[in-house]
Amino acid sequence: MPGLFAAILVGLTVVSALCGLAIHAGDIPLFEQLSKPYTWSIIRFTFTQAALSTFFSVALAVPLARALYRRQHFFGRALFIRFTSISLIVPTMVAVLGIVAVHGRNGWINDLLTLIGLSRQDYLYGLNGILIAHIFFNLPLVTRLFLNGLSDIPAYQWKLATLLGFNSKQNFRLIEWPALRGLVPGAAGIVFLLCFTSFAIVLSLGGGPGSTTLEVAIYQAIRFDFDLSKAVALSLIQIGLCLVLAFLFFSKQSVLKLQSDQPPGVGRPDSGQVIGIVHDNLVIGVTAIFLLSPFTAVLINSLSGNGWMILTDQRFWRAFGSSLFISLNAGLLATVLGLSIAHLIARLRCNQTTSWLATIPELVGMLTLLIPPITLGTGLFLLFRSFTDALSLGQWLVISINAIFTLAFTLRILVAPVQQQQNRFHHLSRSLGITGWNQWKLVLWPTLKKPICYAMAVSTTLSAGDMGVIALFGTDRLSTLPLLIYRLLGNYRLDQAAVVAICLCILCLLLFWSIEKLAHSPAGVKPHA
Amino acid sequence: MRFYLFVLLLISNLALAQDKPVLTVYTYDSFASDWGPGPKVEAAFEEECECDLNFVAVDSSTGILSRVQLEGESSSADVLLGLDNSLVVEAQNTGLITEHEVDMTKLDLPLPWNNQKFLPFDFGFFAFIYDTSRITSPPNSFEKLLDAGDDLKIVIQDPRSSTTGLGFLLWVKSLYGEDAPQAWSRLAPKILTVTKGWSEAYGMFLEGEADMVLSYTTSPAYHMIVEQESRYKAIGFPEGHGIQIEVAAVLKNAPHPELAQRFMHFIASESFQTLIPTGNWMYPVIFPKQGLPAEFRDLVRPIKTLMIDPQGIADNKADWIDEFNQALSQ
Amino acid sequence: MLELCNVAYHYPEASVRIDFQVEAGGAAALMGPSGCGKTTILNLIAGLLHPAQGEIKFNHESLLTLKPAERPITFLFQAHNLFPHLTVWQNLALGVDPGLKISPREKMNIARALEWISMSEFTERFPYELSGGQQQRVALARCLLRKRPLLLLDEPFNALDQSLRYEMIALIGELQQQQNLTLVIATHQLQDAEALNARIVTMAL
Repeated sequence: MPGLFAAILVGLTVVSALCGLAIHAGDIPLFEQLSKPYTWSIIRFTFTQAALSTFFSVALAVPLARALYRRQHFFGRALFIRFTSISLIVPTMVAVLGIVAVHGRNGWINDLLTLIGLSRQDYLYGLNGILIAHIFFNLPLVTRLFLNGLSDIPAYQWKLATLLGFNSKQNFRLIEWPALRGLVPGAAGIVFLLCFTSFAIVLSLGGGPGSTTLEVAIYQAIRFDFDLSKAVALSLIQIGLCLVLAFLFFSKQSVLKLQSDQPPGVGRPDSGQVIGIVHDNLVIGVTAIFLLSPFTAVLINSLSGNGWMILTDQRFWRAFGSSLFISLNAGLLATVLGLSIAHLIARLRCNQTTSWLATIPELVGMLTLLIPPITLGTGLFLLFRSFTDALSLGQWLVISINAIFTLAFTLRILVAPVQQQQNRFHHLSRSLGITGWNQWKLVLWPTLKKPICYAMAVSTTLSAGDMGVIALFGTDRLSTLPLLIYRLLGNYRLDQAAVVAICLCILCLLLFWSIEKLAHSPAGVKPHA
Repeated sequence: MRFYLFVLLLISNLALAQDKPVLTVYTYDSFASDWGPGPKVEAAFEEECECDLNFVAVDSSTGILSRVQLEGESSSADVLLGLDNSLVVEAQNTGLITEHEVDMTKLDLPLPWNNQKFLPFDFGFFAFIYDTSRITSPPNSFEKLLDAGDDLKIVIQDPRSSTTGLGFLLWVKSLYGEDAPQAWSRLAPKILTVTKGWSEAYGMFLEGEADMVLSYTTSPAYHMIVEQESRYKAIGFPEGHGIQIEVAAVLKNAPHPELAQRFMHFIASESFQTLIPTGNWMYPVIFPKQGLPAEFRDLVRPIKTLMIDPQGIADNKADWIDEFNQALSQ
Repeated sequence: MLELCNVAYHYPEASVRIDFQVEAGGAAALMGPSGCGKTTILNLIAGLLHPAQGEIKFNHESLLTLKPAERPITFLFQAHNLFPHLTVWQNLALGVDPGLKISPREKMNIARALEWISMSEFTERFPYELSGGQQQRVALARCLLRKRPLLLLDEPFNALDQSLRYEMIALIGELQQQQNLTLVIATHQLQDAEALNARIVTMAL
């Protein structure tokens, strides 16, 4: 059974990586680490930045989702909403670069300040920069969740509101907030965990002694001090805290939906008010500028200046090749693993007596989100280092770890359709004796090609934009486009970094588009001539 | 469409294919970069040895060390180029380094060097660089720097990731000893940011984001020679300056030990050393016959050189860094 | 008196036209097959839809310029008259003030309305804890509190069984007497119209 094999493989990889690291580390000074004031200031900072990022993302998403819901018709609405659903797969380093170009000391905001005669302000590096970047990524996500929540408000409630004469404030208090209230813990939980374990953003915009998170401290312990026991101790602290948080947030599981049906034209009583129109347009306009300016800045920076020189550099083409190789392989692996595990979950759920067992593979898929990829990567590297040379090992490790970490996404996409497919065709295929390759060719692929391709598109694009373990194994020989952006940013070559960022965006778009398109190709079943 | 993706996969595989390296040297990125001495060193050595020299650039000097520690005895590196005096004991303690065969008595160093496993290849003095067109009277002693107004903004490097940053930490430590934490808190309000590496800090300074940057007394030579620009100056502190001695070492498990030793001899030769002053912008360890470039005569030469015994660094580094982190995260 | 003069409303595929009057304190029952536009007429009177042509007047004043909440009407739907996340008391209080600012005197009125529908002990319950008949009674109590002279009923008894139906009709009749209400009911049950003494307005497809 491939599903069982896949779940065991993933589980075993994670466990053996942790064990490998623990063995190499010798003793684990958990309590010594916890007694250091610096560890506590890292933990404090990790919590502070995650809490503030979550607060602002959620608090700003409420008026934004409300404005988008209230204005059903404006130019670019569909595009804006499409953006909110893909913000998670925007390569982190592209956004970081854009944010530096807009908010840095020589960025657009400071250019504006000097135009009106004010002095330049440094607000980007450290906590502020981390917050800006986290809000940039999470505000669209939360807005999307909230907008779906609002769209689910039944039309009769608006009819009642109209007849009872609610004003804008009362609409919010009596109808919209009750619809959103249930979504807040789940949305806040996801954002908090994402920010709690955030790596590339904190590494690029913070990372100094005053703004280091646990995830970055683990990286620093390995990369700077090669202090494995410290890394293991910090990882244990991080995993422990994440487990507690995940339990707190998700024990009262509220259903989070990323896709929802838009309601039929709802006549709400306050959609025609001038104050409301001004308010909504202001909210939408300001956030649109906040979310789009980094991309515009990257685009403009890449077109001006002589950053195009990077295209003649072999470092660029090496990174381009690796990015392509790593992302395609990781995407394929994540999809195969995801499909197998989804199949296993579906089979277990089919049967009343085994349905409770389905939570185990589900947990395996989700658990990977809680373990720092850096820790996992180091553990695996130490286990396998004697078998092959560092370059190719590093490359395959990056592939496997990217695959394991995008597994959570592919599972989310695949479980429901696989379940449906099982319910419909399982007995039929069994009775007709369709198994193995034929089952794949005749039943699975034709009925599931859409979600499969979507899952692969998402995981491939996520891997292409990822800047995690590659930061640990990267050299000039093994580099990806996001790492190259990080390096160029580190060398203060912003113009070249912008060009690489544009190339990375184009690569991601092409990958996403072409893999999603695979579903539209002929199913591969040809009638016999 | 599937065919197209398959071709992409193939191309990506081809892009990774490379010639079999013969001598693998791990170094930091600015040494191996196009504007660093790397390409010239590579050409000169390949001509002499009829082999292939393969530089693998890691993002920093500390990165070189942690990289070989991670790879352990299965590392494919032959030579490490770019560790420094602050890292030698730590590197030695890994047990991965073997002795080199170069006679070090011929080296011209400002301080005696007697570690047989590490071969110095250049040295320099840490100093703050400022732009004379922007500041006319910078603080001219360490004490005055600590007392300067908070509107003076400096950029320094992280001692955990950058040897420049670590060098600065040791410099402060050798001046202030037990009182270092107070010195850090006096300095903290003036620190615009702590960067991961030297390049980022220097880039920020050149872009005008900071008034002073931690670099080397030799940095102005770059601007004078390459850009004919003399407005950047180093500040000489009467308290003395920290020294950095950059070293190379051979790995015990080097796949090509003989070639590695030949490269070590090459490092201590005239042809490598002449590339240092205007390639790595440091002082060579063998004084060139034709002398240093004229611009080097205008550079600040420290009155006093400060260096902490490498064993003491290895024993206390972690505590000192914690001290620094603690003071700066307040 | 409620007057609908030559009112027309156009859907893409059909049009609804009507012309009728109900005297103050009287009742009219809109009858006809499903899809003939009964609900459309009620929505037009309530202001949830706007007529393409024609005039709607109550006591000789046009309703068309008024917003739905400003019109002298209160509306009872077949279901979904209550907010599921608000308590019975809050749902009733909304009929007095949408901001839920309730004076002591109005609190008394709410208590009396609850007594009237024999549901005094249900104040803190949520609608999903109530039966369908109880929910409709709460909605009716809110109509009482609204104190609007015109009551629109859109198949209000459909989800109820026979005995609950009579109970509701009795309550509506009581309410009509008390406040001298004008009633317009959409229904396809002749006995509902008869029980409420309503003049029958027949509609066709």
